[in-house]
Amino acid sequence: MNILAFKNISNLGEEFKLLLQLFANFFSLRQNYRQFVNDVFFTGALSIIIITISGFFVGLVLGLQGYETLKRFGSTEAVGTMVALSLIRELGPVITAILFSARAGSAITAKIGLMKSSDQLIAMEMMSVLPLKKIYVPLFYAGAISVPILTGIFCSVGVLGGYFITVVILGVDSGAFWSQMQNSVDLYHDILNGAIKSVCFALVINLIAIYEGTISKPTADGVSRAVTNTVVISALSVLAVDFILTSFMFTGA
Amino acid sequence: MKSMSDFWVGIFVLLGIISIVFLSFRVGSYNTFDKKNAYSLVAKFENLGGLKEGSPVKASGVTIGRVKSINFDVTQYKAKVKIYIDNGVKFPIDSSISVLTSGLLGEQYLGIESGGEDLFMVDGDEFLLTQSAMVLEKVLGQFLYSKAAETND
Amino acid sequence: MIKKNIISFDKVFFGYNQKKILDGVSFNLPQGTITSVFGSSGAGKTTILKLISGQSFPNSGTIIFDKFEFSNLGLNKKKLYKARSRMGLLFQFGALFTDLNVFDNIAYPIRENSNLDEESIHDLVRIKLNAVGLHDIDNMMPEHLSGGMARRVALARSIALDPFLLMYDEPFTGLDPLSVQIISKLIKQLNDSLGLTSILVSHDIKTSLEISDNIIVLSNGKIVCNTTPDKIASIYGEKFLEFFGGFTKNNKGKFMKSIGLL
Repeated sequence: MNILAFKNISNLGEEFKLLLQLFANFFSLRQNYRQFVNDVFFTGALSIIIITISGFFVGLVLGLQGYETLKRFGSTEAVGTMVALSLIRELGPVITAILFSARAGSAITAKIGLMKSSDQLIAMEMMSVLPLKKIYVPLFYAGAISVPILTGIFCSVGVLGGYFITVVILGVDSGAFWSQMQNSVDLYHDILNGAIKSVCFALVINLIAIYEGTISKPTADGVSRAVTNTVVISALSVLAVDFILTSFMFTGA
Repeated sequence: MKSMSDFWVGIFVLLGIISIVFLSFRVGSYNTFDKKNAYSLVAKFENLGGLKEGSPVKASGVTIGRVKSINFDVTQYKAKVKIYIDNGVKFPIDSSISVLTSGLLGEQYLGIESGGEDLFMVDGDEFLLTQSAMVLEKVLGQFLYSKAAETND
Repeated sequence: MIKKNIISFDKVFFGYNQKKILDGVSFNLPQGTITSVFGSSGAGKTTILKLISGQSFPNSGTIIFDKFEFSNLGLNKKKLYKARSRMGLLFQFGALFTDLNVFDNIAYPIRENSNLDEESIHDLVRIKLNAVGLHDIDNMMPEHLSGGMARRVALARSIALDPFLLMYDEPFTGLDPLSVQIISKLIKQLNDSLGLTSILVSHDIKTSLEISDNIIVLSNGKIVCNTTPDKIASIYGEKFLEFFGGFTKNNKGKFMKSIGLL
């Protein structure tokens, strides 16, 4: 039991050290620009489809559930508000982060783990190239910038999904849908906070993905375990961080 | 050396920008309350309810201002609220201001009903007539009291 | 004529968690020679390569490479990188960058460590590929290369910066007999024609003996033998072949291959 706790806490320490190193080497992005762009493609552009489809479905469900619930209070015009706020404040950042870690985070961990197990990382070091600058930094910042963009896409598509089900299918008034929404969604209180959440999640899940890759055991089992860890730990961390952020962003005054 | 991945990254970033613009302007309210073209007034309330800084100030349902600051007045033991009002909108000195709730589940805002006097309030003036937020316990208490009074008759 | 020692190990101790891997190891690698290191698995052969390349540092003792000194204090990053640019390391199974093609793999160390223009890099890569006997495979990806070719590309990459020490970690493992011959001849050729010093770690004793100038045998963290191939036969004779060659005398007095070495 003690060893487990010791190992996990020292992992946390190592992870934080990695984060500091990633921040410190931000400017090496300039030299590895090509790699950075490739990584944005690898993590972000390739995730567009899963995020868009998921966002649309979540929007549909929110619209449907919202309509059914608000129908009882006779306030179905508020469904636009409900869909938008749920997405922007919570579901957008959280679901995007979890889907991202499943799709791109696992890919990042697998890539690094594989490079580690086939000695490619050591080969780089032997050529006086730091994997930190050449591999980890571009991947980290590429992922970190992809998550907020994907969150924005998720929320937008979700709102459109909500619009589709409630206005087009269920007959809620289109004008009421948009105007109620606009009256309740505040740029600073809701959208900015949602954006801050997604940036925090972005840093956390990309850090975890890269870290798990670097400590993976250089075996087939080791890499698969690392990938699983990335997805699981990322999901749990996102939910925990979400709680912390929500409690001081959206409650009280 | 441009490759296909560059193209998709470009599309990706473009989609991101479009969605952010969409969210900001179409979904959210772009609260550009121009503080430069506004003057401020003061109102004191017994009870503010859930009024916050930045809450809207409306007249006849139209938003014409924002709550600037909320403080506690130690001399009068009331909540002292400073509000911004658009420069073009003027209210007579006998106007009243109340803490209202929008809809059933809505947020609280300040509603102004204009009075009939000829003199208008200027920057720094204080409202003479204020109506505090309805506190549920008090209303219930009043209701129960009046009901009790009825049955005693 | 006293030959300069490219590598000097002086009473090097290395181990962790109570486990001693190298227990007071001292040897020299004279310039221009090929040295093979033998020993059972885990005896510390790969550790020696790790210590030379600075991936690990000795607990005590010193390692001198050219004018660089590796001790238990480690080496500052700049010096370490400078030292590494003078070494080449052929990893077990090659460790080619799987996302890059052959050309980019060989060009990688050149691009990272110099400011040469693309044309010069192109010529250099060409030269290195020719040196290992390969042509026209510039655009192939590592996954499409045969084991022997991949190993040769990795070799070309390790000589890209014209090192003067080459390290080989199990260069013959996993190759067909023909490729083994090609690689071993290449090792000898490169060493002699480029004036390199080579150290190789291998289980393939026969092939290593054919090309080595020196043999070092490790056992339990200590060097039990440090001599030349011809002396080995005369000093140890049959005992050597028995002990290392996996041959045993059957009851008729003839040597037969036995199962299970050391």
